[in-house]
Amino acid sequence: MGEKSRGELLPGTLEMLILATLRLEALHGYAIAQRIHVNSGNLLRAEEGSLYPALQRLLIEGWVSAEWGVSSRNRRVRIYKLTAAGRKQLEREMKSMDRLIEGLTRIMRPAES
Amino acid sequence: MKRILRYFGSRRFERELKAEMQSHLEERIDDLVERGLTPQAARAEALRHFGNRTHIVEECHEKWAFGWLDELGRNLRFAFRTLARNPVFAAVAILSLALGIGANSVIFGAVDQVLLRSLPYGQPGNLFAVWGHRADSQEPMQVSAADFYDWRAQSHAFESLSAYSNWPMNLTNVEDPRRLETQLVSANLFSTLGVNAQIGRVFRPDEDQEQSAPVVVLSHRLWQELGGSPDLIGRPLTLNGSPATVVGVMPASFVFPVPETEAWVPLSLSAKNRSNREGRWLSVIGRLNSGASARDAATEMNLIADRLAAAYPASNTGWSTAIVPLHEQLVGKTRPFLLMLQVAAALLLLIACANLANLLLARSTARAREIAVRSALGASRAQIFRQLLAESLVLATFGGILGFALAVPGIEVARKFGSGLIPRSSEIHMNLPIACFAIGATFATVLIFGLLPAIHASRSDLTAQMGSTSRGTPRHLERKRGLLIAIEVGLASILLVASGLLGESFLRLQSTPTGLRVDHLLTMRLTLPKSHYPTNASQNNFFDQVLARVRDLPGVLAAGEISDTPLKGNNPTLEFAVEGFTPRPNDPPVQAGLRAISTGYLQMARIPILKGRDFGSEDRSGTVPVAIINQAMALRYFPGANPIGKRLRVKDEEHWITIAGLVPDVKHMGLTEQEGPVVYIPYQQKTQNWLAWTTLMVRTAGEPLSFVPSVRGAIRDIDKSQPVSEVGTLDEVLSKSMAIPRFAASIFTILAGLALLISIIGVYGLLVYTVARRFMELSIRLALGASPMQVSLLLLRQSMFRVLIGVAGGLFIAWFMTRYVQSMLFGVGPHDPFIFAAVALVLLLSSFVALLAPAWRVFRMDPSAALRAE
Repeated sequence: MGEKSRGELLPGTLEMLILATLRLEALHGYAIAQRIHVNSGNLLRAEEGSLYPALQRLLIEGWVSAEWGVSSRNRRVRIYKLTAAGRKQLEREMKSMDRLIEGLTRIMRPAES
Repeated sequence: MKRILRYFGSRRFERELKAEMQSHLEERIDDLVERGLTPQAARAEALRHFGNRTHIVEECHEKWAFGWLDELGRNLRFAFRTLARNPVFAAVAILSLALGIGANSVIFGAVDQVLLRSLPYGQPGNLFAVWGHRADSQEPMQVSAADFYDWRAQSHAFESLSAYSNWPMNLTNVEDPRRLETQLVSANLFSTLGVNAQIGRVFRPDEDQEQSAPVVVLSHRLWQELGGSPDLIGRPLTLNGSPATVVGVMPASFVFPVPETEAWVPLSLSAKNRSNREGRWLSVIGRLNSGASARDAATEMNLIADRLAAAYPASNTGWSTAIVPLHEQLVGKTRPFLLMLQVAAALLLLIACANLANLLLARSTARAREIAVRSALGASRAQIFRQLLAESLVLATFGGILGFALAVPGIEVARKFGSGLIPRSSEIHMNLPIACFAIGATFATVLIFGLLPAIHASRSDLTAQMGSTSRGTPRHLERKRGLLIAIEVGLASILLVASGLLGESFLRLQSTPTGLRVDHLLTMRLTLPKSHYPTNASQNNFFDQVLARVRDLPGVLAAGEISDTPLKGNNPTLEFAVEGFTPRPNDPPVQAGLRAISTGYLQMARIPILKGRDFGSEDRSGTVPVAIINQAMALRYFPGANPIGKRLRVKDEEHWITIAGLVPDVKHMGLTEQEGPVVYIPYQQKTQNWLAWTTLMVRTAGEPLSFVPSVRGAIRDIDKSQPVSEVGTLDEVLSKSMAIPRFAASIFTILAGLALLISIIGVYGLLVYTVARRFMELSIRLALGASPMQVSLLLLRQSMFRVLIGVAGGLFIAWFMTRYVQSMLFGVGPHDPFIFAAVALVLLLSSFVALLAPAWRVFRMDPSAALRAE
């Protein structure tokens, strides 16, 4: 059931990025997309076409919760918040991410390790 | 639940999501405008960026709605495809499940509707049968009229007590006079049962008085037969020569006491008959007072019986009472039979499940790599588990649907077959509980046969599988499969033992000599109404005329008359006094069946005279009264002496009867019962005015039933208002007396045969699979110099060992289970060593034969090719 890969993101990583973005504060959809774009130094882009399905999946898993609120520009938006289960999931993902990167690095750049 | 709600609230969901995305879009436009774009350019840029919003909504929607549905759907589709690729496997699986589920559903229907469902009377739990009881007999005894009326007057525990007695009557004011299955009943019978008439009314409480006008209540069936018009109420029916007014018609569903009953007539007894304590001919039922318990009633009834015994010692000494719940009374004897069938069907279904689990395990092993690839691609254990279970679910669902489809006609067959064999069988019909049972059984089978393979496959070790080749399945799996095979064989052997015992019983029963020649015998019953034939002379005159006429008919070889049809079990018993024989104080009185026969009866029936002589035309009213006794009588009352010339008499009568002949015992009561003492007397000398009936038996040259019109015509020529009843052949009577044993034997043979077939398929399948799995190992053995024979024997030995374990275990369990079929056995013990040995032999031999083909494959193996292939 892997997500269809859109753009430069590996499948499954978008959810992880969303969870990581929500770690510090609750945000609405557009703000999440912006935050990912800006915080990655404009390297990553969360396309709306995959952002919203990913958010739905996180809701289903119970990793985030959503409430209607108001944006800084006074627009009615849905604000997403990390749940306790989401926090745990994020920790799991980060651990496996670390291992993956370490593994990848050793293979891709054997001299540096 | 949340998801389902979300799914159904999908319009709101869409609206919210669209609103959310609209805000998103506008936020971006604002950002772009802040960076200096014109609003139009910003809008265009933002829209381009966003892409197809409807598509996004759809995708989000799917996430919620179809996450689980979609997986299930995909699993089911995949299961269909997999099964369609293995049509033989699928067919075997579905068919064996369908047979198991179908058989279980039908028998469940019978068990539920006959044994479990309460009787169709008002508050049936309070209804009890009340019997007389003697310490020297296990049988419930009927009750005398005087005792019944005393019970009714003295009992407080019973709200009401009612009596009934089977009393067929001749119905003559119709085109074709016929015998009606009538019950004489006390007027309160219907209120005791808590039922009312469908048309008209039931009896009024005072309608069983001697002087009250004669009335009759009809069964729905008889009413239909007489035209089915409501106008029939108030019309007279001529019953036994006198008119009775039809007052009511019972509903079609009403049955009491037997389905054959066609009419109910009040028990209007004369004062003399009312006070008779000797004649015990009434059956009694009672409705318990709401405050009283069955135990209270039993205690009270026995107190009343003690009181009556003290007051009337001559007739009531030694008589107590027994009360039995009416439901138990009706179906109690059928319970072991039906439960036995249910157990047998359950065993068959279990065997089918074990077999399927086995096949699925084999397939899950064959598919181990496919499954490993799936899990490597990210499928979770739970997903694989669900996927495999979906396959079992598809199989079971098809099996269940087909099984239910088989059960629908099966129920009809059960009702048809059960009529006359199983009480309440007319009530058996397809209903919701049976459908629920079939569905439940279907899901239960999924759990039984699907769970083990699914758990097994989802647990399998990924790396081990990925690294392995076709030969590399773990040994523990083969042990599991071996155990399943042993269980299958074991269950099959239990069924085979039961079917062997029942089959042997039936064969023994069939070969039991009846004591007379039964073939080509037309039988019909004639019961004379007292109104037309009041005296013994007039009755005997009629019987003689019939005999003379019938003997003259072309094609009739011989004819005779006897007061009760052989093999049917009617045996009016009288108390006799035997000259020179005084029973000791505590011994039961001299009792013997009394049977009146015509001259030529014994010859016609081919019952040989062992001693003395047959009755002849000289034995008539006015000459010396004579009797012929059977061997049981001679052994009991004239042990070691020649009974010819000895004398006896009916206890209440004066005249002595001289014994003129001795005949062997006949299976008068049915094949399974040994006949007791019997006294035959010639019709012409009978003094019993009540004995106004006979069974006319005609030995014919051709098919007996083709003689019915001519014999019937001969009787009509003598008295056109005289009906005949129970027209049939003695072969039919004999066959009917074996119906239950035949049914039990044949159904068990079918079930056991299926069980044998399924388990042999299992045994065969396991070895085929084993040979394939151990192909490498066997090839190496061959390459290293083992002869194909040695390798084959190795395989055979291992497989036969499992079969042997199964047979041993099955026979061990069967040893303890067969006592539950003991009541159905005849002439064979529940532990008959021959049957047990035969079952073991059959299973071992058929397994061996099934194993030969796969074992033979070793001879065709090419070890070098196999080794190269790796």
